[in-house]
Amino acid sequence: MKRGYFVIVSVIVFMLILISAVSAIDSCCELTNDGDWCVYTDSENCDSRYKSTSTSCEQTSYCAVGTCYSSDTGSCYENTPRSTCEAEEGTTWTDVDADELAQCQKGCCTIADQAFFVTEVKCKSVGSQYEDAGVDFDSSIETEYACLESVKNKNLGCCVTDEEYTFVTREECSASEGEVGTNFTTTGFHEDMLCSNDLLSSDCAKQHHTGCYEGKVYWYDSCGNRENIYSSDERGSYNDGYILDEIDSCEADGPLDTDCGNCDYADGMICGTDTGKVMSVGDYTCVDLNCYDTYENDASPLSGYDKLNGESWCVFDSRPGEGLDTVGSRHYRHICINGQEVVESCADFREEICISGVLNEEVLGTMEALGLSGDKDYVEASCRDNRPETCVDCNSDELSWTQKTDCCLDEDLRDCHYLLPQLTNIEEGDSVSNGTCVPQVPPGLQFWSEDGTEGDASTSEVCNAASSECKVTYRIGGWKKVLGGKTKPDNWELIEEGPDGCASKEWLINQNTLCRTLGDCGAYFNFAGEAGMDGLATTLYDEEFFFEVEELEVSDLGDTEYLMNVNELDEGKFWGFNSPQLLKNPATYVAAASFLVGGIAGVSACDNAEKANEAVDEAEKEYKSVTSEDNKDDSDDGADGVDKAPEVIYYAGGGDSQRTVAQGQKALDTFKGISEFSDGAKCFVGSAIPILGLFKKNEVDYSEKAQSKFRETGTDDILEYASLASKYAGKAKTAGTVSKVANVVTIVAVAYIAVEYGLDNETTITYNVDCNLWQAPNGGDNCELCNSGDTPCSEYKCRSLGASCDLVNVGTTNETCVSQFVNDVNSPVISEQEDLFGDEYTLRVSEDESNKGFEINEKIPAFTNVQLGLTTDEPAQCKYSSDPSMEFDSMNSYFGSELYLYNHSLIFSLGDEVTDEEIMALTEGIYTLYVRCSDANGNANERDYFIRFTVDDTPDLTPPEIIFSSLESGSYIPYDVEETTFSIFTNEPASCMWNNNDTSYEFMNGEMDCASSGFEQSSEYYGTYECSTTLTGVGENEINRFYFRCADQSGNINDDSYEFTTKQTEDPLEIVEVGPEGTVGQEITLEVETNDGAENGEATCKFYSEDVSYDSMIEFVDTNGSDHSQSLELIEGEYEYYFGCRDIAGNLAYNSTSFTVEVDNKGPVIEVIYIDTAYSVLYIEMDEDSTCEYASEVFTYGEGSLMTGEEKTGHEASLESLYFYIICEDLIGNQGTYEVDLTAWV
Amino acid sequence: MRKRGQLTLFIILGIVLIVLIALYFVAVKTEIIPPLLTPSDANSEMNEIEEHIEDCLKAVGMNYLYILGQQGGYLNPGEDTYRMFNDSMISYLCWNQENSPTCTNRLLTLNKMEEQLEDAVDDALQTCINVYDYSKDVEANDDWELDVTINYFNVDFDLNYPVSVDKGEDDSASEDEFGYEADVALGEIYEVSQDIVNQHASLGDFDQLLYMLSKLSRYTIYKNRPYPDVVYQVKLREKAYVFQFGIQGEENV
Repeated sequence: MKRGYFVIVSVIVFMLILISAVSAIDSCCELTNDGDWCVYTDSENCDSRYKSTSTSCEQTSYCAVGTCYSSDTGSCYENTPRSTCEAEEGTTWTDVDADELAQCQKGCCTIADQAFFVTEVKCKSVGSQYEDAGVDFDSSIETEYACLESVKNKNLGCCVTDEEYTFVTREECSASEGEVGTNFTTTGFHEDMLCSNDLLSSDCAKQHHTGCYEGKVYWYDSCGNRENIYSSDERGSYNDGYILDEIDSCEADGPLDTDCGNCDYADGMICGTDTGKVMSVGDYTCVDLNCYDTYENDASPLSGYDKLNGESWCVFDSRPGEGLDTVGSRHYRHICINGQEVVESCADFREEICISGVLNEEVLGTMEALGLSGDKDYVEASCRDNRPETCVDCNSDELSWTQKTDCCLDEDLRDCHYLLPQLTNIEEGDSVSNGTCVPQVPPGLQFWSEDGTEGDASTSEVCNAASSECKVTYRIGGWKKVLGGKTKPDNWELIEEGPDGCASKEWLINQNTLCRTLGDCGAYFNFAGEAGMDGLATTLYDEEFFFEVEELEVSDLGDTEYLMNVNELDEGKFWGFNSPQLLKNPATYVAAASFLVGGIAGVSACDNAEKANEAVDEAEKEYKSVTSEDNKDDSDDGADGVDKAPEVIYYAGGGDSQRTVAQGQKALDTFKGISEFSDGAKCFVGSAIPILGLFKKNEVDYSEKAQSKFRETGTDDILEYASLASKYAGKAKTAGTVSKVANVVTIVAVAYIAVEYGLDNETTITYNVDCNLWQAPNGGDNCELCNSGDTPCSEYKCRSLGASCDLVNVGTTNETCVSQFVNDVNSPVISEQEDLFGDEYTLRVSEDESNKGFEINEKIPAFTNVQLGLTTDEPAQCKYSSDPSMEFDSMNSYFGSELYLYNHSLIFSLGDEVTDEEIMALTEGIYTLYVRCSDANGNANERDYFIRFTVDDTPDLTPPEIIFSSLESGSYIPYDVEETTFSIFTNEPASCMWNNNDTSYEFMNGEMDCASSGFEQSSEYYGTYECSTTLTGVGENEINRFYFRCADQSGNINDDSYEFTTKQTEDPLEIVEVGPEGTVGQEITLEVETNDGAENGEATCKFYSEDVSYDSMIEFVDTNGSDHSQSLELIEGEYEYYFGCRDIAGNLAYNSTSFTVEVDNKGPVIEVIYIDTAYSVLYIEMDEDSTCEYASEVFTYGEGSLMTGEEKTGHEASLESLYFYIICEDLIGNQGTYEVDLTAWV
Repeated sequence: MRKRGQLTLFIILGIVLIVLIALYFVAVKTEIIPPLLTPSDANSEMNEIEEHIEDCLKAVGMNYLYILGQQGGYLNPGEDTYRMFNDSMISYLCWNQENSPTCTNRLLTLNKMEEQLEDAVDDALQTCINVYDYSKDVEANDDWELDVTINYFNVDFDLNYPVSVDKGEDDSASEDEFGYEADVALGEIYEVSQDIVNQHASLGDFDQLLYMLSKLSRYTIYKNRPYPDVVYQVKLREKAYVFQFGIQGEENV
């Protein structure tokens, strides 16, 4: 009972946790407080003035998705929420698909010599930005390619105006048509002419430089006008100053052609930077679009080959498909574009798989596509959804095995693999009745938890589907129990195993295979080939008495070579199922066999005896027939025929009467014996108890004797029957003997069994095999394999490499997988990064293990930036200090970055105090920085790593520079405040002073608190040194000017002042009006008006229902001006709202308002009613503004006739009837219903 | 004889005059002495002011254009509207639709980007423009009006800020309009981004390779998959400006 309560309470608690967990993001906000429309987020983020519903946005009416069309820009936005669209100006929302909207149909838009495939409105919109350019829209062009091609036929030429020469289209040229040589004027548009043409007398020098245009290398003149396609045949490509068509230009032989710039995109070339300097002129050439030396790995059969531009292919972390994908592995699509190999990761957790195909060849099945290999002509690949969810449906017991395989291998619906006990290809008609349908590519699961406990319960359920039981029954026989004892395992016999062979390692391996194919479950390898064994737990390991099952070993999981290399042949290492035969009891077999043999033999004996009997009967009949013909006196009593037979035999014998009588008697006995035997056989057959036959006499002897007598005395017919009887009797004898022996054996066996099974013992044990979430291998030695850079690292990949691996620097460009193994007590090993120092400095590295570090050989001048570089053997944070032996946590300065990195660099400069003579004398100009680094596990090196350098004592003659200040010059300070804190930041440690007048440093009297050492850099602004002070004497109604000058530690002083101006706010910020006040309805608007302050009342205002500070208040939706408002919908009650406003100078103003909200839930009431006979109208007057309808019978508001006076108190209706039904509705929707009966009045 | 003496004198004086004139021009040229006829002080000061304001527009405008591109069209992404990727707050331009491969268009418009740029640049100009540093005779309006227009091939920053330098005696200069044209094809890149968003919104995926090929490699598009989202980085092939944005995905594990 207590357990039951516990379960219920647990369930309730779990539900509550679930509810609380999902309540974080639970509502569709029509508008969020951040101003975003239709966002599914925490309900607290919703703007209370707009709608919000606890459902996904697509299900709401206000955020239903459709097509949003902007009539301003001509853009069509598909799948756009209604409110999002309607919030924009000039947009229209419709639930019609963009494909069906005429406004969204695209055509070819040409603007000057540019072409775009856009909507017509978009075309005009873009065209309007370029007033001089001709705009044309052609809806008949239906493809982008045709559109781009169309501009190649534009009329181009040189446009000459008074001001310049430009190479443009005719439409772009504002000048009219020009003729060369007419009155020496060249103004106008000169079609087909280059602007450097001598006939135009321009100052533009021909073929001045080259550049890229439309993917080809072109000549450009000195004025920047495009000319013809580049060719080393300069004269030919100039074409006497006229346009040379592309088709008449040179043909580039291939990429990096040194003579021609006519790059053909279709041939894999495009204009690009001439990095190899192959062109004799200019900086551009035809570069290769194809990719060479592509990334190669053994698990990706398509990788490593040269690829053409536009090709895409799949790359895998390990062998994909057939349920073999390793934990943490991912599929990638590599693409070759513009000579660059770009990696597109398919969705992590193998939510997507990469499928390849060969252009113009048959579409491949999933497994074929995953395994596509070789250097194909043109491969295309795509990341598509992995669909393993319904594989389990194909294992339903209701399906026949053919239905199961059909279901499993239906690639239209799912990505599944029919897992057989042995790895064989499934062909039609194969016997596959004992397979299981599992995911083709097992989906990734979150096998870790953030708090270090087991993974998520729901993902565990995925694995638990493969959990199973092994039920084993052992028995000890009565004999062994009596004679040998129960404590010897050998005396126990396995009599039942369910499933067959489950008490074995082979079965366990098979179960693990099934387990791991469901996802990241069971024991299996990660993508680096390291095994995690803890995902499979079983009580089989605990059994020690009846049998022992060895624990799974890494080798039982398969061959990592096979997993990581697609060229490795499968040797069936991943499957194998040797079911042991069930042992049978031999006594049972013996008993059964002897019983069977005895039975069959008995039946045979009976059958033959029957036939012998029938022969005797026939002989008897024959005998009677003979006797009836020779001794008719005996025929009156047929029943006595047998008794009279001796006489007949006697007669027939015709011999000695005594001898004949004796022979006849024997013959009679013989007949009787056969007859009796026959009866006994019948009994045997009828009762099917062969043992009865055992006690029968051996009548066959009589039969033999009778037969001999028949031979002596009988007729031929009788003899024939006697012969038959003898034959069958012989068979019966043999069968009877066999039956007797078998029956004896049966009796012995049954007796044995009776003891064996009557006194036996049986025991049934159930072992569990738990398929759990895969567990990463212990430790974190391999975490950094994720950081190799060949493929992107993700948390999923990182976690798979070790239980102590975790991703740090998340969201940055330096996401790094690091070890946080508790036993990892090793601190990062620091070494110099010499290449960062460049040629300017050389290092002398200390080889002393106890004193690691390096010294810079060259002297470093003061305030010269030096980049110091370190490398750590694992991702680490590094800090430095000028004091030795400082604990890592006590150090304040990071060595360049706070991130966990391998490479650390610090740009460092020394203050010139280090060149001070006294200091130089003390230090001899030698300084040391002490560095410590800590890994993600918190292990910091205990011994300092030193960086030593010598300061150049050359005197510093440059004064300090004030780089910026904490307040911008020209800013305001609050009203009635006469002083303000202020800082300036210099490029070197300096002593700074300030004054209200621009005077020399020596005459300045305002002191400042300044950084005095090169090691006291500003923590906020790296590389600067802060001087702070409080500026006093800020006067009213004037611009206050402050001047600053500094002297560095070498005595160099600024000659010019740094000026800072500020102005005190003349009048305090005031809240001059607040609202609402008095009694108001439910929908209210909080209103505040501000005045004065720094910017004439311009301020940011906030409100709150309690008297709190400005920072704790909620900002008005409409603010940042002098009028501020916020709409609210309140329930009935009294309210007091507090307002706070702050302007740019920090002036604050507070105020509040009180009001009462009354809720009107009553319908309007008729106060006056009368009939105006003069106008034949019914007049009513209500107690509040309302709109009324009437009818002569009962109606619903909205369907009646409208009375005059909408939203007024007085209403009229013509006297069309003597009976009025009237419904009036006030301004907030309250209705009142009235019936007016005028019949009495009439 | 007297006539010859007079002639010699005139010749000597002429030579001296020529030498003096030459010396004057050399001295003016080498800025040893100021020219006698200097150009208007007001105009030169006005030129400096103009240069200063345009420098400010360039520095501030390019800075916010860069941030806008890094953050997917939003200068201040709100809560739950972005993800961190490569040190940047990448705004989602398409919301995840539960249990559906398609997504819901957030509807980033050019107007929205223009408004954000106007607000941000306007504020930042307050700390950059200081015309009073360039002339003591300058008069300028207290406030200015900034208009940002995102064109297909560039972005215009137009500042209406009446400034005048009046030195009296016909020496004055004034200018109302200042401008800077940023060579950033934001309008064009925006169109590419909307093509991507539209395809995700209607089809649930976008093939960047096919798109790049269809545009004859005018654009370079990188597709990144930080789980569970998709982050696109779009740029013109030969240009450095990058516009990156996110498509919100659904967590299934």
